[in-house]
Amino acid sequence: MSTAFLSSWKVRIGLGILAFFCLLALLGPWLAESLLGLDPRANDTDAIALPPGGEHLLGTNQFGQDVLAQVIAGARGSMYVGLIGAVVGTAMAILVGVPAGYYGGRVDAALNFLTNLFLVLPVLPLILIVAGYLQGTGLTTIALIIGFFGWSGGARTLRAQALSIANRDFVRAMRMLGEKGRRLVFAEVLPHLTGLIASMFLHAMIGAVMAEAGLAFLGISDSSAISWGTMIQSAQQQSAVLRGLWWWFVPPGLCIALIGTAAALVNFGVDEFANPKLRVARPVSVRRTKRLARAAATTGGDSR
Amino acid sequence: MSNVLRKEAAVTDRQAIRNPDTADAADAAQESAYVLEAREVTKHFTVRGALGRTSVVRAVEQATVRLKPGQILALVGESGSGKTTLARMLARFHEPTEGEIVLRGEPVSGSRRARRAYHSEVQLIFQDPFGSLNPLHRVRYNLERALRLHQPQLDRAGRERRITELLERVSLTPTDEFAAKFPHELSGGQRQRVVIARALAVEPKVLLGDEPISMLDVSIRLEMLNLLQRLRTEDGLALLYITHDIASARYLCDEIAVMYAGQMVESGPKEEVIAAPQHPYTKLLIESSPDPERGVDDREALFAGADELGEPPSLIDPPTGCRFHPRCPFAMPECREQAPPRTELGNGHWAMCWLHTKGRAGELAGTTHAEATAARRRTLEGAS
Repeated sequence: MSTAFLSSWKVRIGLGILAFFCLLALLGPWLAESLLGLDPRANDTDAIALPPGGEHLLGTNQFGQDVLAQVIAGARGSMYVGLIGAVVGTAMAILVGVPAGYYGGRVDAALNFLTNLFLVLPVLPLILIVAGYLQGTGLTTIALIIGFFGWSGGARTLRAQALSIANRDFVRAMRMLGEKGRRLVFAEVLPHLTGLIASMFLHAMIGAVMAEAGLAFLGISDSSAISWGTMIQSAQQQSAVLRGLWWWFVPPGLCIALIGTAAALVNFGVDEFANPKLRVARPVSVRRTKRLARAAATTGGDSR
Repeated sequence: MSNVLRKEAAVTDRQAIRNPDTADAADAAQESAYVLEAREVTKHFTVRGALGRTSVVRAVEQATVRLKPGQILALVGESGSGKTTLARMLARFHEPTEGEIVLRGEPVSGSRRARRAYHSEVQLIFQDPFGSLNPLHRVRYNLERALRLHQPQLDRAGRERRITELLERVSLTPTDEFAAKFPHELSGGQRQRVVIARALAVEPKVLLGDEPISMLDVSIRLEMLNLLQRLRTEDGLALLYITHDIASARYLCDEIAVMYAGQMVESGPKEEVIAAPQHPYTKLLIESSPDPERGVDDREALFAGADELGEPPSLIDPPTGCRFHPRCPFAMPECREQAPPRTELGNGHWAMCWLHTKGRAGELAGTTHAEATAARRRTLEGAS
């Protein structure tokens, strides 16, 4: 199953990019410090706002900090927020969505009400208020807030899926055997949702990375912590765009875009795996393209 | 295919020869109490339309089923006649709207513990073996869960031994190999054996089979029926066999109950019911079951009026009186107005039809359903 899943080039590239960023987040800061001798926080007053090249590969910012070192350190911050946010969000989606779909009735009514409530809440302003209320917002707090407010869509999807699985005969059969509800949910229903949950998790991770960047851009983050979001925010504060310091904000922005692309690629691959109709090169389309190519070749020959 | 059916018929004959001792056994069982009963159970489903209008589907009305240990009762009827609803009530997936389910003479309660105790005695075998096993669990897991839940005293080695026994019981050998398989590695018949083994792991007293062979290949149906037969003779299980296939019911069961539009219309010993049906619907059902012995010409003659045999009525708005009267070639004015009384015909055979009270029961044997329908049409045309 896993090898079939990996045979798609989209999945391989996507997973490759994700793995690269995970490694960067894990080992990057240590490597940058020991091998390149870079400290993301060190202010080099001799090298302020230098363009890329020379000693500083990606240039330096307004404060004389090395942008490469900051991007690497930011990878750790952003991926950390992404991971924690996604874990919290997905766990809540599972805990609310699956029981709602499985048990139905009053449990469903209550949990569905909760889901709908979170679905229609204006999440961004709420996060602003909560983050403002919680003094001293570190990356962990931001990640928890993002996860806590971002589970409702996933819960809805899982509820719908669990609803259809809960009425399948094999669940009925195990219930008749005397299995308890909790075990039915986690041993019979949940394993059928792993594909969906995996793709939801990836989605949530990208969402959390972006949400963190967005919140940092709006000034809701710990200014001492380094993440791609805080980098872009401080670039904006120092009006890097007006002054043409593109190397300050383009690398973190590009990293966020790359992670988004990677997740999208993996999800395409998952879709193709789950839905064979989407697989590339269906015989019909191959035949049609060949025919068109042949037709084009003959008309081309005539005109020549 | 016809080969198999002919073999079935041959085995049925042998069955008939062996019948005396099964009859003795049945007599002995007569003394013992019923193990599971559904007493006058009724199930109404409320459906809500798009505009919020509600209507009631009368899926089962006043049905009574009694099961004795070591006895097989076949419940036959066409699709939508309420057979499966009745089975699901007996398996306690639905609570009956009226009436009660009685296990060993005691009405069962709805509490969770009572339900669990109930299910350690009564197990249902689903129609679709492709749907009733979780594709993500191995055969061993299914059996092990059943053993863990119902025989907690067994230790690991004991469970292992029991799994081997169960798989041998349903002829899935080598057992080690089969225990390690996933459902998708098994054929339909093998899956259904696993389902039966899982039900047997509970050591039930009653098995409810909801069309257990209808999704299987014709070539393995007979093996399945023989397995059920063996469970009955060797373990003394009571079996409710739900089917629309008269031939398999005849092969397997001791008694037949016929359902139409949610009601029981006839019940009795199988040979009597099949040879001399006492309700026009039973007659229609038996005549419309395909028989390879019948020649092509016979078939055409028999079903000359087949397009006018009618359809089962809507259960939301069932016909008044006898529910079969719109399709019945013998219908009388009474049939339209009043539900027929139950007529005892002796030997445990009864039917619910006005023909018996009006002394017209003899007409049933002399004609076929299609013929009677055609004759009725002619008289109606002549009258108008």
